[in-house]
Amino acid sequence: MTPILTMRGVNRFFGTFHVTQDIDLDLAPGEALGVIGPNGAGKSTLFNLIAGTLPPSSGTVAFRGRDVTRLPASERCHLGVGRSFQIPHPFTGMTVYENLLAASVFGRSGHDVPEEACRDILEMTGLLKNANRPAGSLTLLERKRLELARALATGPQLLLLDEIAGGLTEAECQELVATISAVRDSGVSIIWIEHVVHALLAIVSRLIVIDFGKIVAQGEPRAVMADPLVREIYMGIPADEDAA
Amino acid sequence: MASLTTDLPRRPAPGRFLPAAVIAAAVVLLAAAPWWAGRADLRLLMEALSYLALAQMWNLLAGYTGLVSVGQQAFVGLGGYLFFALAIFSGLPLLVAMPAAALATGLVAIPAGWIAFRLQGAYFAIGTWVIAEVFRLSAAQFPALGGGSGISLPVAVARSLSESREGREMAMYFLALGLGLSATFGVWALLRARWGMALTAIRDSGTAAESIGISTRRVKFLIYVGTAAMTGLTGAFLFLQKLRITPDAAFSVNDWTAFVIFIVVIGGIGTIEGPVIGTILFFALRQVAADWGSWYLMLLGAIAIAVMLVDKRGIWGALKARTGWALFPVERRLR
Repeated sequence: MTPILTMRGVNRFFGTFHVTQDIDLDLAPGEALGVIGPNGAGKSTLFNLIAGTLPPSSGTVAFRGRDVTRLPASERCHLGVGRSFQIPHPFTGMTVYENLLAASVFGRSGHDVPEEACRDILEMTGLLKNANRPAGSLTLLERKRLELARALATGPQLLLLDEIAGGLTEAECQELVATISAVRDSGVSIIWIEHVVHALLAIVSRLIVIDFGKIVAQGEPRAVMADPLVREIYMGIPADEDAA
Repeated sequence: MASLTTDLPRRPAPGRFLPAAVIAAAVVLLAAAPWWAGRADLRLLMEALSYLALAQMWNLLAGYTGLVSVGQQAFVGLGGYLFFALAIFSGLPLLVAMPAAALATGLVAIPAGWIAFRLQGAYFAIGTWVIAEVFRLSAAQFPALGGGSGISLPVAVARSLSESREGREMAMYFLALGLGLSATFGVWALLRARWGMALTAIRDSGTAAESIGISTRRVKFLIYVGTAAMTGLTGAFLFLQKLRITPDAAFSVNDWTAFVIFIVVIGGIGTIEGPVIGTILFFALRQVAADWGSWYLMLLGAIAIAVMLVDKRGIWGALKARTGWALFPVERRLR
């Protein structure tokens, strides 16, 4: 089967700073991939390169077999890439419902009745009671939910989630995991950057670790987490001490 | 895009009757002005309505799409000059020449925008100013249009509007009223249409707007060209009223951009009500202080700085944030 996403030799520089280094990545349709790594490792930049918010300095990005390297974010969204932002970017002057409606209408979501689709997504993400509130009045956690809801409203085939579980209580985190697993089970491919590892492990079937812009480990999530190198990078536990 | 222009069902929220009543009263009052206002007041209202149109356009451009232009005088002047040229040389009736001049201004804005859009932020602002200066210098190069000293509209052309002076003044007033109202209600209709959601989205976050499938560059370009055409139409009217056009008057950065920015910023950028409030305030100030010479301009500057320091959302922006008022509601509600 054609991978839904293919990245080949993708590099990105900010000035002389080499943020993303030679990334090769394939994602199968329906696959859920987790991304972990220290702050500043280049995880969000990776999302910007996939979503088209940033063009790569070199390399190619293909989505559903089509080269999208030169396409702007809006056109990648039309093809089926939906994303959330780590720092929420709500449309503060619109209501929560209008945020979703705009995403559904302009994202070419294929929803027959955008109003109804938006209602379902609001319900699923626990935002229904806030539907007619201005998005600017939401708390940080509600804004993160809105990021997820708005990305879903575009009708994505690939959903990019950037640290949406941080700061949630255990109960809220479980609700979120249930929501995301429902999205995954509906056939949407997911890439999820998350520091809340146990939430991540409940969803993903593969994990990659990024450090200094490179993929330094990947594979079955539990095996990756047990890798001494990963433990050193990610938790600061020196490899030799861990062995002792 | 056809489906995007259809509107959503909307539930009238409580408290919408008062805004509607205020708007209706204002429109009726303005429409009846020739019967209650004196000649001087009518002239003042005409000018205020023209400025309202300019302010609504600048606000649509800068307040919604974030394109801060300090060169809108390019389109005021171009609209004025093209209108004079068409009215004098082509023999088109006035009421045809004006929209034709506006359309031509919009067409010129396409290549002008193509150049300006290569620049971002502050560079875009400077770029638009430079383009306007090029237009001003070019306008002086046409001897048929009076070169650097300008040209007057032949009396016969102005007469074609109406034989009597009262008739002309009445016609001019209703042209100004049409401009001010169509700019205001046009922006309102645009923001209420589905396509208008793109504008609010871009205003609030360009990055997120792009990521939900809005081609921000295309929307910005369309708005740039559209506001140029409407600004050109206003320019055509302004110089019809003045009956004389010179390059310096037509492409004046003070008259057609600085004052307009003052109006929008004081009133509340990124709101439909802001330009209305700003226009009222600007003309009230001018009535009081215009005789003070340079002190008047310093007063305007001081007020602008004070508003920036106290609340940069402007008068209406601050009021809206505190009270949730909307004279021109655009919100869609989930029922």
